[in-house]
Amino acid sequence: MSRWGLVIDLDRCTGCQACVVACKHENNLPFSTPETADVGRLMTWIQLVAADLPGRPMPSSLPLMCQQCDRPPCTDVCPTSATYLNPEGIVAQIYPRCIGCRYCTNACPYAVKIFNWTEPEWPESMAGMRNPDVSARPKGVVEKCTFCHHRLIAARERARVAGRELAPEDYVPACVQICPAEAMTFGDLSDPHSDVAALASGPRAFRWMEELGTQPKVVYLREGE
Amino acid sequence: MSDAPSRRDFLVYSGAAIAGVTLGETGRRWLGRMDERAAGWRDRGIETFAVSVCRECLAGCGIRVRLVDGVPVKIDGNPLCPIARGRLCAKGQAALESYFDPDRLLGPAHRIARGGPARWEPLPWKDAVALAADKITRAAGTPDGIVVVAADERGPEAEAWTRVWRAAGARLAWTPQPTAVRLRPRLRHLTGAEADPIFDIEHSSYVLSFGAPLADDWLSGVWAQRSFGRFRRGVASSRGRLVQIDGRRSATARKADEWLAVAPDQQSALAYGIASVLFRENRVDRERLASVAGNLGNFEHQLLTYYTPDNVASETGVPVVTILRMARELVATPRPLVIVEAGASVALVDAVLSLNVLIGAIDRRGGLFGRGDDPLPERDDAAAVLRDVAEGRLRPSVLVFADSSALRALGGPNRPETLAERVPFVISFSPYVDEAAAIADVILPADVPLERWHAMVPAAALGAEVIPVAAPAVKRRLDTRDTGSLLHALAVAIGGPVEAACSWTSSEDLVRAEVKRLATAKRGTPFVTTYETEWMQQLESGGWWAQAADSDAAFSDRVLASGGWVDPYFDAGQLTEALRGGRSLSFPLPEALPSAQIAGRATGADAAAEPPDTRFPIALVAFQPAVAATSGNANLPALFELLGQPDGVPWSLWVEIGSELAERLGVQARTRVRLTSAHASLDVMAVRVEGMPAGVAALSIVPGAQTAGRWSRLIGKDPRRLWGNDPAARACAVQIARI
Repeated sequence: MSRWGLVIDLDRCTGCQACVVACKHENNLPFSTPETADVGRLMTWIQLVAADLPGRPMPSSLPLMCQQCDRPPCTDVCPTSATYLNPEGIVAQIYPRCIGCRYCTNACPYAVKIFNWTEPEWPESMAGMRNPDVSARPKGVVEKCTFCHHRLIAARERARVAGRELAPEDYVPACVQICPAEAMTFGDLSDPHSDVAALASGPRAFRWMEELGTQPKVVYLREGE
Repeated sequence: MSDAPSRRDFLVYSGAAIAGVTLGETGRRWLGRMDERAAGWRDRGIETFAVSVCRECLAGCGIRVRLVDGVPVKIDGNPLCPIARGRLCAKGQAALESYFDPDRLLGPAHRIARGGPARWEPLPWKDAVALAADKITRAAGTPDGIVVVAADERGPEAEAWTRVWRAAGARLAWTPQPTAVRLRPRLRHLTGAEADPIFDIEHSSYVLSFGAPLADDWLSGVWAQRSFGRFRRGVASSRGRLVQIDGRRSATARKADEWLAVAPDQQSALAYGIASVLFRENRVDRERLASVAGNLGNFEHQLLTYYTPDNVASETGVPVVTILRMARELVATPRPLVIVEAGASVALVDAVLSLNVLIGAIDRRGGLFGRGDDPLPERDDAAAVLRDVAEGRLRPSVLVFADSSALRALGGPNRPETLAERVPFVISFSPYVDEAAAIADVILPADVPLERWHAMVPAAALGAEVIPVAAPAVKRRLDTRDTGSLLHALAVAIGGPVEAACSWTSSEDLVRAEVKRLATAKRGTPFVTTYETEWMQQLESGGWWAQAADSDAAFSDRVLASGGWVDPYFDAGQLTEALRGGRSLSFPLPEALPSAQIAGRATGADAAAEPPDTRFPIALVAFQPAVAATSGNANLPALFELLGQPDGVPWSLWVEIGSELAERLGVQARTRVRLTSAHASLDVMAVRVEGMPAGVAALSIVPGAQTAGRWSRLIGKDPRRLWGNDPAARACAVQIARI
């Protein structure tokens, strides 16, 4: 069984936010306005946050998304099992089950679970640009990064039709695919020969807020020598 | 019991038979309908991919558009494009929003009445072209005639544009390419080589950057980002070190190993100070330099006389020990390189290029190369020409805009509406409701990039010669035209020499002619994988060439299918060759400190040189965030969300101020302040930055106009008005107060 993980090399990352736009378009995240942004309701599954990291002279830019924890605090508090850890290590979100209690948004120490305060809306002319592989989430539910799980389903189907096993390059989330600085590496952490497993166990690897014991599968590589 | 069927049996069996026949027919029909629906499903949700070219800036990255049932839903980089290599920046992806922009112009239109709020009326294409042609014909005889403004794109469409307008007697002005402003002319001045500078960041071990936004959008955004990533961690065993000299804490300064906050007008002093230390400590190869430079002695004398570490330290505020350390670090690593912002002052660019000569970075892996080209024609700078128009020094009868790039430039006219007041007739080709459309009398909207044919010469960044080429990726959504057809229609309506200059009928003609030229060039290849590109480079270096297709037609098809053409051969010794003529290198001779004498006018020296005005004690420096620097559509909501991150000020302008000033004003997170200059005032969000020089603040410039699209209107402020009548100056003096 695969155990999907993401490594972000902060030494390579320039903070350009190409990943933010890739995620927005891929996952049909509606646009905000100055008013919604002002009250902290930007709909972004990845956001750039300023982080004080050891050894750095000034705050670093950290691309932060759902950390896909192996011990996710959000799933423990969900009263309807709308969010759960699936067998491949992805913290999944079943929107029809979500009752919008927001226990999970409070429990998540990374503040990356987002509540839909309004119905997602696009101007009429933009309705066509939505990705048909991803359903829009209604008002009143919580959403978050899924490692572009729909891409995994599609890749697995393509591999099945072709009569072969899923290859590592078959499944890549949109943010990883676009990153101009080649700072993101995605793959199967349980495969000891994968790039992602090698990087995640390297000397520069660390997990954000790892002292909380959430055991994230998003691993950062620190900047500097 | 009798075996004969009873009446009851007859009714049951006959009823069952009728029901069977009837229901069977119904069932068959139902199944038939389901089959039809299933067949429809099979034809829905079909995923295809098309190549195209990003035109949000001049980098010309190849893109790959994902279409579902022919509708574009996502844009990624074209994996075969040598510039993008499958990656893309935020702006490039947002081109999808341009295609679907709800505020795009529906078709040609003309302004109902001048003055007051802009109101337009739709016009049939024929009438719109006839109106524009009539005004152009009448303007041809007037003193300042026609002024035509466009971004400096190169390629067959740009050549067609030039040909038509030259034939019409127009004066052409351009928003220049990044290297064309300073880097290329100053490299020619230094070495005599007619070449674009190519900085090999990826293979350098130490980069000393004077304001170059390497991690933002330098020269060619995606190339710069990839180069940065590989410079940092391209080889597992080594990591490139970056030192950023910057007036503000830019994204590059944030990424640097060391950031030295030095105001732009003082940076050339620091560069020459480092050069001076190299001479003092005998860290330069004098013999080698003397063999190529005629004025080495004078150069050294000037540096050692005026740019002593003590003098430079008192001028810049950088401690002597730091200047010494930087000079020593620079030559202690195997492949150092010095880079500079493309629009920096002449003095700073000269200093940086000279430093590269001193450290032996010319034509060296991880250093500075030249990529030859034909001499570029002298071109008028659009921002300067428009300032002349706005201020009445130039009085054209017709003003033509291909796009709004010149109206968004930092040095452009601060009040575009004055152009409409000064010029009797304005024509816009932009497909968006933008700054150009806002002042236009007639709008002839061209196609948006995803709908266009493409063949263009990208901004210089790679050693290889690249021409991205593509057919339209999607169907035209609105009543727009391709630029080639528009020019043809105008030329026919004008007639005479203008019509004679037009040998095409559409952009497709222009692009196909270019592809045909490439097919017969007997060099290069359609876009192929990295491995195949390198193989072709090896072949061409050995004087060989492998034909990519059996016929010119097949070659053309491959070019269009792959997204472009590349000739990977690169003469890595072009600058050395230029210098081999014997002592042809000419070092600039820096003048004495203070900075007012050494820094160029357009760097912010203006503010420093003027006597201080106690009412306006802060020097305000303008900068354009990478995500906002677009020559195309500025009505892109996804990009407005990225503004000011990670400092948490999306959808707004912001000013960066140092901790001392922030302390004095009581600025915390998300505090609003008022900036007041002698010309205007502006309310913006303040961001506190540790280490920012005292007495300096940096203001973001974001395209946002009340007359533009719905999202752009939400930004709604043009901060350039603070600059008043001197928009060419980067810094202006302001007062900052907490609201």
